[in-house]
Amino acid sequence: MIFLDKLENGISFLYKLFDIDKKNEVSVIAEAEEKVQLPEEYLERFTLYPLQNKDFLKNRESELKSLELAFENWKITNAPLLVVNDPGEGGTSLLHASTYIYPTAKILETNHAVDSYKKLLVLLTTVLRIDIEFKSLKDLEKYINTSEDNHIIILENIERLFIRRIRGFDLLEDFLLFLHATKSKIYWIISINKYSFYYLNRVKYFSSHFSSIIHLKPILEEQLKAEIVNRNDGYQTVFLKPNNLSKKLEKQLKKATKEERQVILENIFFKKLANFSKGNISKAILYARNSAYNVKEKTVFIKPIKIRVFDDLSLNDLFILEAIFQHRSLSIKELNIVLRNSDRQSRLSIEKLLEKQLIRLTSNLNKRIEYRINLMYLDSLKELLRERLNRNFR
Amino acid sequence: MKTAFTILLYTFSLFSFAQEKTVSAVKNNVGNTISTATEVISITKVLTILVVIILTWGLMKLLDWFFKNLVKNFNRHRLKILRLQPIVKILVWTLAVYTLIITLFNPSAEAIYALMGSSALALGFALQDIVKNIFGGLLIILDRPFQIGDRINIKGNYGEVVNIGLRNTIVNTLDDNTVTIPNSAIISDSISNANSGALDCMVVINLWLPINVDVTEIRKIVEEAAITSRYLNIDRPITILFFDHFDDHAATKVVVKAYVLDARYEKLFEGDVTESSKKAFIEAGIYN
Repeated sequence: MIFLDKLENGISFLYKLFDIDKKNEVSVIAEAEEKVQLPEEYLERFTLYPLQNKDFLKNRESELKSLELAFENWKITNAPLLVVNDPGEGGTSLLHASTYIYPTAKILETNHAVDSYKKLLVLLTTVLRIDIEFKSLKDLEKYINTSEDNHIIILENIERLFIRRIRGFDLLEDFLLFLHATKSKIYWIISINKYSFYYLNRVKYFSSHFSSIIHLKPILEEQLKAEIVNRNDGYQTVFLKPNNLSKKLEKQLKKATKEERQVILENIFFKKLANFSKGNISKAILYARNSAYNVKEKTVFIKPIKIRVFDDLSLNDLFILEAIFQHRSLSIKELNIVLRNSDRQSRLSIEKLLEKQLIRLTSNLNKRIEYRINLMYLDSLKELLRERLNRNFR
Repeated sequence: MKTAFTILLYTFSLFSFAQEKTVSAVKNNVGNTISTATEVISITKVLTILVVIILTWGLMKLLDWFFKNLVKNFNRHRLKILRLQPIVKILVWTLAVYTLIITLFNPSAEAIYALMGSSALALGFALQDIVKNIFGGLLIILDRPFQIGDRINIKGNYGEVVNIGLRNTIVNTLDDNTVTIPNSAIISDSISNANSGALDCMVVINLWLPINVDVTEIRKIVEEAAITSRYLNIDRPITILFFDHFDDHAATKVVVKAYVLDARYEKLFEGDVTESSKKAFIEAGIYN
């Protein structure tokens, strides 16, 4: 049997070596791995939610200082502020926690697409608590500039104000005009997704509208480790051997005592976690949650997961992923508009990407279904876009 | 009579002696030839030739596979990788020929000079076209007016260079036709290269509109058609130009100059921008 296997392997190697196509189709049905259902109580510890309080915010001292400085600058120069962040990097937490600097600040979250002037006006008048109905942004601008009050508005995800189509940038451009016209009365703090920033910067010189820009720094490895250890508090952690371990480490583990073995495996786990998350707190939490292999009573068994590599994505799949990256999330209808695709074409592609777990479903307050990039594959997909679509994105 | 008999006897003995000598000389010659032939064409040498040829062929296939995989895995550096391919292949061939000559003949320096002289003469007359092509191929590799993966226009054939061989260069046209152009013809002709080793290339899109259009509106539509195209290389600038034509019918020609993310999608990009612009022109009432 072993000989036959070796022979088969040898033949397939030769086929590959000489670039000969095999006539028969290779069936690639991998055995599905049964996942142990972990207790809800444990999983809840790894839920992702934005922080509201500065005291819980870790490793963001320099960003908070920059926010304080930018606010002081606005008082003199009226310059709006832009915060550039990746999904899961903690941008929302930072902005929410920064309200200690300006307690009267109003937060305007644009989690869904703002695709009309009417929607934008409703959002702005609601956040500014103005009961008058305005016909245009110009009217609202006049009203704000004639009033005595000053405001501070944190507008999250400005990328939801545009859609990649002809005339799809009008709303964003008019909003920027409105922002400039009202900046003496309103201190604007705007946040944007990193990939949208890259795109808008190239096609619309977006960054030129902001003299103050804060880019979120990656969180330190030690901080990430402390965060995960904290979330496992109350549980005894047992680190299991990962599937693919180098021979050197195998030997090291064989020689080690039980305690030493745990120390080595713990280090391996946190090294893998740091490599995967690249300082993104949400990614680190997701990695830790997915690595929890089993929970028995008050003991959690942790086995580092292996991140899949996607090299079989078609050009069309990549274009869809890029469109989602640019807008943070998209519905099927929006995807049809952006990619100039038919509805059926988009649905088929989306189903394929959902199956591969590269994107995930989200529904907003209006129960509108949108698709987002799965945080677990954020960096590997960006790398793929960089490589295959020749994008100069860092 | 006696004298005549003596002469005859003498002649006969001389003749038979000469015959014996010729036979032995022939025997010797044949022996020498056989031994020389077995020296030149020994089983070891035949096996060496076979092994070198098989190894070279295998190595070529291996190189093709290796470069193909490299290109697949490092698409961003595709053209840089492909640039190396013909150079490496020529080196392998040169090494193989050198090994064969050294193994088979082990020639002295004088023999090499003599061989080179006579071959030059023979090649000059009999194989002048092939030699021209080979030198053309070497010039293309050294001078690099284009590389594999470049989009060139030569002798009216526009397409992607898929192979630069020693004798000829293969261009795959936009209609998916494979055009084989002798290297000698390439070096003596002018070549236009659209991307010169870069992955992206500029695409010029021409749109024709009525003469009395609002250019500000048209500029906005056309620019946004380009920036919203999935095929655009967003890291490069876009230029939009307007020209008035009064030949047969008065018309405005809009020229959009933008870079496609990969030269392979040149026509897809052109089609995408044209299609979306046209739809927007209809929506805006510019086209009826």
